[in-house]
Amino acid sequence: MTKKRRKIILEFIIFTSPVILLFLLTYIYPFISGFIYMFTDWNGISSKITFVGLENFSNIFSESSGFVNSVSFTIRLTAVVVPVSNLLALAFALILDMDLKLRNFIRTLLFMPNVITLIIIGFMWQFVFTNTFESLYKYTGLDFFNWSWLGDERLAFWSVAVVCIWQVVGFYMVIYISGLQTVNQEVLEASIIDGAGRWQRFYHIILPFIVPAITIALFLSISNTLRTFDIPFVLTKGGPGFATRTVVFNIYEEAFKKNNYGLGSAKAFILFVATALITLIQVLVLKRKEVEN
Amino acid sequence: MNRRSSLIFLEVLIIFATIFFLYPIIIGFLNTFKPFRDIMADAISLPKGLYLTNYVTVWDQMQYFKKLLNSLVICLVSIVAIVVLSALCAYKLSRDEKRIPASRIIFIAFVSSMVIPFHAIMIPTIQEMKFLNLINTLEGVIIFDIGGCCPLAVFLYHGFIKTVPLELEECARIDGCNTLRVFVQIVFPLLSPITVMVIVLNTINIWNDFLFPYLVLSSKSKMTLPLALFQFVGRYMKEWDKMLAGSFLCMAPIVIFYFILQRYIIKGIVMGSIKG
Repeated sequence: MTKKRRKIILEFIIFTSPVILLFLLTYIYPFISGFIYMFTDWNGISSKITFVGLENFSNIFSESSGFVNSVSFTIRLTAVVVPVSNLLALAFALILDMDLKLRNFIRTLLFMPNVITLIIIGFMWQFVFTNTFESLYKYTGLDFFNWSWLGDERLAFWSVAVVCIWQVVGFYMVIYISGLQTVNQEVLEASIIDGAGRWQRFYHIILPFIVPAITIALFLSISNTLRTFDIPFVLTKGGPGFATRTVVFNIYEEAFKKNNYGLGSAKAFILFVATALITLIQVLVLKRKEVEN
Repeated sequence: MNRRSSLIFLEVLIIFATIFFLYPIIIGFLNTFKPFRDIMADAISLPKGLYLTNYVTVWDQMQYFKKLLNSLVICLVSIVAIVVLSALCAYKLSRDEKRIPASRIIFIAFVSSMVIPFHAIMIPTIQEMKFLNLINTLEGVIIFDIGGCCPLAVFLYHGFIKTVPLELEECARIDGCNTLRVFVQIVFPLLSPITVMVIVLNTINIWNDFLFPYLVLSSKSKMTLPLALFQFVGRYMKEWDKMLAGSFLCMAPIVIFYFILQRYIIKGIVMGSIKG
């Protein structure tokens, strides 16, 4: 090995090793040890760890583990939050793309929930659903405000969904606004002269340009909603009963409340596979789009 | 004329929609200026005067200044380290791509790790921290925040360094600069668009993070602002006068930061998550 070559390698090691070491510490070691935990019955404390094979995976689906319940809640939540938040975001984006005086200021305000700690958002909305609604009921007499928004199983689902949508709308709106800026203005103006209606213009001219933005926003919102934790943790505390416990909530309780590290790790692995699959599909879809263009 | 009047209509409409949208924040803010009795009696009435007792009480009871300091230390130390270490690493990974075959493998490992959500590895992470005696220490939170954020930062820098022309560096080298000086004086300043993005993205994420520090930090003196608030709420359940004032005290620093740098922050957060 020449002296020069040795110097290149030495420099490479000096520059890259801090991040590589941290990477081993925060990603590789936890990932591998989590993979081992899930085949054991470890409780996180005892020195006796028994290898139980795939037993955790059959326990996951038992009633008492609450996993099936939390998966069902999370999927229903995703099924509501993803389409509604994206449609609202697109609507806001279309309006704010127009020549309005206050559009930058309004954009800043709508994006604001993304910079506030999620648990504060939970508290704020808890106040709305309890005290504020109570006062509104006194003034208006509308039954709507008197419903038990956090205490009733079915309503609690919608309360969590509303808050999740409220929190993310501004984020996807920004993605759609940047998508709308790629729309070819000349084609758009030509279509107006040719007498295309509002809907035709949107469907035939604007939509094709914002398909990449839609793809990105959709996949992001799916994988983000699947990892929901903080909002129901504070807003409903997962209740009433177990009605609003998400998958992450369930993993958190299994590991840190019930001390079942093995079972918790098995659940965490399923979460990992699900989110990794979604990312993989996203990459493939975007790649195919690039090829088509 | 028709077009202009419809624009005005839309402007009014969106202003009302925005006020409606911000209603939870507005109503919460107004109620921080009301004594407990008034909040419970009527949550939607306006405050009668500038009643600041809630803020003063909460400031003392949650030891606001101490917690603010904890949050600031975690944020500042992590971010300085993330920027310096990731930029150095990305620089070598990108420039030595041909000379050192391992650099491609390392880069691919970083990129693949970005599909692992924290929640999927939080159990072994906490175990590992117990083992390393990092539980209930600010250092522990800082080290794992740095490690957790570096792969994305390296990825962002890596893509950008490729666009920085090599000629500049070669000239400096002929003039006798060593690699570190070339990096500090020539390359790093050119990377500032990415540096700004890495800073804002991670500031928001680390400042607002709840679950990770909640699992790590248990003693009151070490808590960050969101943890202190959560603790506080557990103790004084339904004491909305303190809860609401506490919430606004906690979000004040980051919201001010947001309004000052809003353009960069919106861009940083959105770009960071699209690429990630």
